[in-house]
Parts: sequence; C-alpha cells; structure tokens
Amino acid sequence: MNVTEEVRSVEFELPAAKVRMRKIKERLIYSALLGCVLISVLTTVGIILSLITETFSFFQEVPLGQFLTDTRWTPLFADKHFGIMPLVAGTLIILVGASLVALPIGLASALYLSTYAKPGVRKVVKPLLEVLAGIPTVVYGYFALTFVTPLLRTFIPDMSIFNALSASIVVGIMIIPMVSSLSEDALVAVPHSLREAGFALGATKFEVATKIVLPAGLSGVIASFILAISRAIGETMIVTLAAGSTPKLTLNPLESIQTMTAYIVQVSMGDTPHGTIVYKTIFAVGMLLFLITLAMNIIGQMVTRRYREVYE
Amino acid sequence: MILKDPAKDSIKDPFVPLTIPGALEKNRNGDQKSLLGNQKNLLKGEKASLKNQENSLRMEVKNLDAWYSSGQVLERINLPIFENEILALIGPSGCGKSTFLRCLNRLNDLIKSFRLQGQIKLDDFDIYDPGIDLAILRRKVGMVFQHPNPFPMSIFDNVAFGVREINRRIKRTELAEIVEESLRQASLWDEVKDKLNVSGLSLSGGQQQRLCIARALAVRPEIIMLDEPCSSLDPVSTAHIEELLLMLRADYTIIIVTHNLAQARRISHRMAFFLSGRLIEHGNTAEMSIRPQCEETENYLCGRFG
Ligand SMILES: Nc1ncnc2c1ncn2[C@@H]1O[C@H](COP(=O)(O)OP(=O)(O)O)[C@@H](O)[C@H]1O
Ligand SMILES: [Mg+2]
Repeated sequence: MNVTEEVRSVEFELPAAKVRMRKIKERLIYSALLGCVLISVLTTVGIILSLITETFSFFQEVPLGQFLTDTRWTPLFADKHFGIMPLVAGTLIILVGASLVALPIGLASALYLSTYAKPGVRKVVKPLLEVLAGIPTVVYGYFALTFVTPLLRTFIPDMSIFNALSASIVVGIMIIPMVSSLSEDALVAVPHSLREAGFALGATKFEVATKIVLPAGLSGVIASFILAISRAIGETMIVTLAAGSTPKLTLNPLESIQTMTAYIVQVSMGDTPHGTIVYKTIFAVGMLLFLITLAMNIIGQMVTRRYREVYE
Repeated sequence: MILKDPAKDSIKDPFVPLTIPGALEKNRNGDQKSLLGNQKNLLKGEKASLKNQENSLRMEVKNLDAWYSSGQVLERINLPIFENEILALIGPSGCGKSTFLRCLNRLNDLIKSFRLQGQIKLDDFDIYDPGIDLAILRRKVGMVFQHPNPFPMSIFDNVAFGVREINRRIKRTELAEIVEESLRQASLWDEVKDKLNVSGLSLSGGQQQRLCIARALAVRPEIIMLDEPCSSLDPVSTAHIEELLLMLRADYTIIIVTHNLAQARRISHRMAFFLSGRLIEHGNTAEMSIRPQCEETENYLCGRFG
C-alpha cells in the first residue's frame, strides 16, 4: 500500500460512529425544514378553515340573497342591514381611482426607465421608486388626510373631509412603485435584438418603446397591473384614515365611504363580543375579499400565459 | 435620392417602385421552380453578366476607425460597395464584421461607448453628417440580424411595421399589396398566405428569418445587410435563403456577413476578409478564392485558423 492509497482510505472510509452522526444530522435538518413548510401550510389552511366556518354560520343567520342585494350595510346599528354592496362600491371607487393614478404613471415610468433613461439615471431612479414602496402605509394615510385632502378642498370646497378621492389618489401613489418596478423588469427582459430590429427599420425611440417593447413585455406588465390592483383592494390603513367610515352605495368619489378592509378594521378595533352576528360579519367580508383576491390571481395567471411570447 | 429632406419626399419616395421588376417576375415565370436545383446556373449567369456591366459605386467607406469602451475594433478600413453586388464579409469571429455592418446604418449610435472616425458615403451623402435623417438612412440601408427576431405581432403586422412608420394613413389595400409583395420576394408567401394573422413567433426558424427579410424588404431598401443570417438555421433553410439572396441581387445591393466560406463562394461576387479589426483583402470572389493576395487570407481560406 503506497502513500496515496492510504490517504484515500482515510478520506473515504469513515468510522461507523461518524457515519451514524451524519445520518442523524441529515434527518434533523430535513425535519426542521419540513416543519417550517408545514407551519406555513397549516397556518394557511387554519385561516381558510376559520374563514369558512364563521362565514358559514354568518349565512345561517343572514340569507345570501340579502347579503348580495340589500343596499344598506348597518350591522352596527339597531336597524341591522347586511347588504355588502355599499362596501363593494367603496372598494371599487378606491380601486378605480388608484388604478387611474398608478397604471399610467407606473407604466410611463417603466417605459422611460427601460428605453429612454441613461444607465446612470436608471441606477438612481429605480431604487428611489422602490423606497416609495417601503414607506409604512400609515404614513401614506396621514399624508392623504393632512396634505392631499386640504389641497383638494381648495379646488372642491364642498368635499367632505373624509372622502374616497383623496384616499384613492394616495393608494394609487403607494402602488406606483409596484407597477413601475415590475413592469420595468418585464420590459428590460425583452431581447435587445427586437429593439435593434425596430431601430433598423427607421422607427423612433417612442415607436420602439410602445409598439415593440411594450407588446413583447405585455405579460409581465399585465401581471404587475393585477398585483398592484390586488394590493389596492387589500389596502387598509390609508382608506381607514382618509376615506371615512360611512358605508354608502355610491360611486361619487367626493363622499365619505367605507371599504371592505376599513370595515373589518372598524369592527376588530371595537370590543365586539365573540360569536355575535357583528363579529361574524367580518369573516363574511373577509371571505369575499379573499375570493376577490384569489380570482384576481387566477385571472392574472391566465392572462400572463395568454400573452407570454416565447423567445429563444 | 433624398437623404436630407425629412418631410414629403421621404414619405412618398419608398413607394414609387411598387412593383419591383426583377425578382418577382422571375418567380412568376417559373424560372425558379426548383429552389435548390438552379443555383449553380443562376450563379454562373449572374457572374457572367457581372463582368459585362460596369457596376456603379453605391457606398464607399474611407479610413474608418471605430472604438468601443474596450478599445479599437476597426482600423483604417477602406472598402467600396457596388450596385447590385453581393458582397460577403468573412473573417474569424470577433474581427469586427458586425461592427462594420452596424456602422453602415448607424445602428452603433445606440451604443454609448461607441466612437467612430473616417467617412462612409452613400451615393453623395456622408451618412455621419449631422443633417442626415437616421430614419431615412436606415430605410435605405436595411438589416437582417443573426438570430431571427420577429416582432411579437402577427405575420402581417411584422411586415407592415416599417411601412406604417413611413405612412401612418396608408390604405389597407395598398398595405396588403406591399405585404404580399414583400412576402413573395422573401419566398415566404405561399407558406403563410393563409395565416397572416398568426403570430410571427409561431413560424419555424427558417421561416422566421425569411419573415425578417420580408420585413426589411417592405420599406423598399436599396441596400440590404445580413449579419450571419443562416448561422442558426438548418441546411435546407440556409439553401432557401441563399436562393433568395441570389434573386434579390437583381434589385438590391447585398452585404452579407458569413462564417460559412462555402456559402460566401456560392453566392457572393466579391469578398472582403477581415482580421482583428483590419480589412486584409477584398476582391472578386473567384479570384480571391483561387489566388489570395495575402498570406493571412490564404491561411483563413484553407481553414488554418478561425
Ligand atoms: N457593444 C460592445 N461593446 C464593447 N465591445 C464590443 C461590443 N460589441 C462588440 N465588441 C467587441 O468588438 C469586437 C468586434 O466584435 P464584432 O464586430 O461583433 O465581431 P464579429 O462580428 O466579426 O464577430 C470584439 O472584440 C467584441 O468583443
Ligand atoms: Mg458578428
């Protein structure tokens, strides 16, 4: 036996005890990782289960028909009505308003950053936009209430202090970074040779950006829109602070309204006894929110798949 | 020949020769029935006629130097380009062929670090003159890229893209005519005429490349540059495209970069051999293949490097 063989045997033939230790270690790591996965899965399942059971017991007291067709939402009053429409309308105003602000601005920033901006500008602006995303929503809420609303009221004096317009604008501002950042990623990923082909045909930067790059990155852009819209639907703090707490079946953004999320906050903050019908309403509303967001996700995935272009 | 006037002339100009006499007629008369068969005859014929006619100068490159941030990539290039010729640029990869090509339609302007010295003339215009309209220049000097890169839109819209850029309010029928003619010229019409609304990306690689050629032809260029157009294609598609280039040669000036020496010999009238940023030699393809003037050329042609 020469020297190299000796070295080899030392390396490869571990003592039995060491082998056993190693196996135990592997098993421990495996179990720990599996445990982490199980925790998140079980939590999700638990949340959904509690949503389902409480929602189920809510609908044993309130018929689904009333929930969907009644035009008043007054669970906190003596004369109780359980029509979800006012909360849906409130959410819808915020959603539409925020989209009108965020989608054009976010998309325009993405086009600018991906096609026009010099690398230096891009390096500064992109992280800056992403900082916007890190601001706590309560700060946005105060911004809406103490800055945007007074500003708007100088133009529209008879607008209420709590109003959907101000809240939706600020929710829009909050989701701009999401749209611009994700869209920009999608646009930058469009193969460079496509842009060159456009320029080689005599197209201008604007034409290349809007007619070639945008269609090529459309799936990612739409995905960013849908994510941002889901975020606007789920946004809670800004609407709680700035949009008011008056469930109202209206589409007028100048009025005080209440969104689904803001209602859940309102009830959760109060000392509503466990098991009462008021307590159960927040699960019914939560269930609806969950279903809407789920539907958005599914639609998002379908659309993304539909518009995905395949490049080599 | 209006390079500098951006307005009216540029809009109408490319559409005057709506029917292009040469290529299309040949095709319709059935001279080109067998796509792979007639190649040699065609080439011989072309070459004979080339000798007879005195070709006029279309482009002239004088003392061209070019730099990227990484350093100088082209050095003292002098090269004339003649009307209705197929000029093949050959040389090992990294020697600057693509860079040279992209100087001719100023596509390198897109690259920040790029710098250039010297003169490139298209007819009587210095194409780097500040007054030159880039859009018009790039329509006159069309380009097809190494990898097929159709736009993410229908076959029809791919071909119509450049035409719409020139004339936004073009009539649908007129546009359809141009699209059909361009697809015929690219000998793709028969394969796609029933699915013009299908995405260009659904075609095979060879079809995609012919679509890109049709797209370039649709704006009626005068010079067509192709950067290794067959490098990602199979032999049948390659033969198809070679055939096509020989047909187009009647109406266009063609510059093709190729790695494939056999291809250069089959289709080109003149060859230009590049080596590490310098133009070593250029001349008649047949003569250069048999009797290269420089040792480097001979080594390359014999496959001793590259
Ligand atoms: N965008 C660029 N930036 C910096 N260097 C480049 C760029 N494009 C090409 N080069 C360099 O220029 C040289 C010539 O490249 P290229 O013209 O693509 O050669 P070829 O087409 O003959 O293979 C190579 O050394 C390459 O690395
Ligand atoms: Mg190249």
